Amino acid sequence: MPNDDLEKPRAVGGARDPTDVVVSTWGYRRLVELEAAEQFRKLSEGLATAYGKSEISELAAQASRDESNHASYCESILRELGCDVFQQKPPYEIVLGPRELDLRHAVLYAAVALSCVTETLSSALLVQMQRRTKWPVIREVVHTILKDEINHARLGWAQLALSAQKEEVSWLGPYLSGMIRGAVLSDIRPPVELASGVVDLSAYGILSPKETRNIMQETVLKVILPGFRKFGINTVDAESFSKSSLSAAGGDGTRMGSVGKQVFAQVTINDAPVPRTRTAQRLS
Amino acid sequence: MNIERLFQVLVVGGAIISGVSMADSSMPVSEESSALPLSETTEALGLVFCDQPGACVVGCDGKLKVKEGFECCWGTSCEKSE
Repeated sequence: MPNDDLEKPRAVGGARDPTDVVVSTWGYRRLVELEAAEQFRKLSEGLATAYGKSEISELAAQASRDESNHASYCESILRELGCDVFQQKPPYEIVLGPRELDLRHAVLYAAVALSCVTETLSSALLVQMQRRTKWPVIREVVHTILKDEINHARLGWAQLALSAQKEEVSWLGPYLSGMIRGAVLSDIRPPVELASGVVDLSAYGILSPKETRNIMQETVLKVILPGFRKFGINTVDAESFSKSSLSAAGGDGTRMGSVGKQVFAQVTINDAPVPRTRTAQRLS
Repeated sequence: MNIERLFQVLVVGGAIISGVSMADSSMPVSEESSALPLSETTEALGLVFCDQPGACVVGCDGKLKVKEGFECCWGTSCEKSE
């Protein structure tokens, strides 16, 4: 192993093998990174088309390249854990924003969902992961990805600030709960479920379900929603939704349904449209 | 983790990158959410990254400085202007 002081996680008693959990989690994150690369590529194109080429559209293009690199970093971790065969990226349709929106609105929706919500949540989780991770390879990867995530989140807040200066953005309000729900469903819930009932794996970049929920709730209520309020967007419904769905009492991560189709902007769950975003405990 | 700093780094930092100045860059807090305790996690935001395009400007002394009002995080590559 690469570190004398820290070995692979070991099973305790009859519990699930923690190494399998670490492998599964980082394997899942790798797939999410590949998906994110496509999402940011699409967002960059959308920004350039709808708003013109700019520093922000270039940041999105860079984010796409970053995400591809992140997938490679995840592979390096998996190799350290003895894996050398990687799951293929599943086919999925990428759509920018709900279909009822015109291009400019759809692109802004996508920037907000992907960067302001998903990447902001991701940044907060990574900050805590960086504090707790001890395994050298994972620690280095977490640090590198966190550095990129900050920029990925900022590009969405930058586009929102720019749009709010020029046009009405309050129409985003009714969509916020769905964006938050989508982020939790697609990227938070699976790793949280994997980590349930196993020993503490924070040294390997996997936060406990409880800690994850606490960080997410705090970030939504004290960073994301206040950010939207800064730009005149009503967050009352989203705040109520977030408190109930992310609370420790009600948020065991198993009551939010499941996503059956990988679509960036919107998927359907029980006939109800749900925005498709991605987040971290994924790492970016 | 300092949650207010996260707000400054991401939300205010993003606005600064776009060239939009926020008249009031403080974090608005609703009455309900202000009652929630801050978690201990946020102290880690004392670390700083600042090699972000658009975050730095060249000061009078020729050295790179962070744009006024820009909150960095983790390993700044330029000096913060006073």
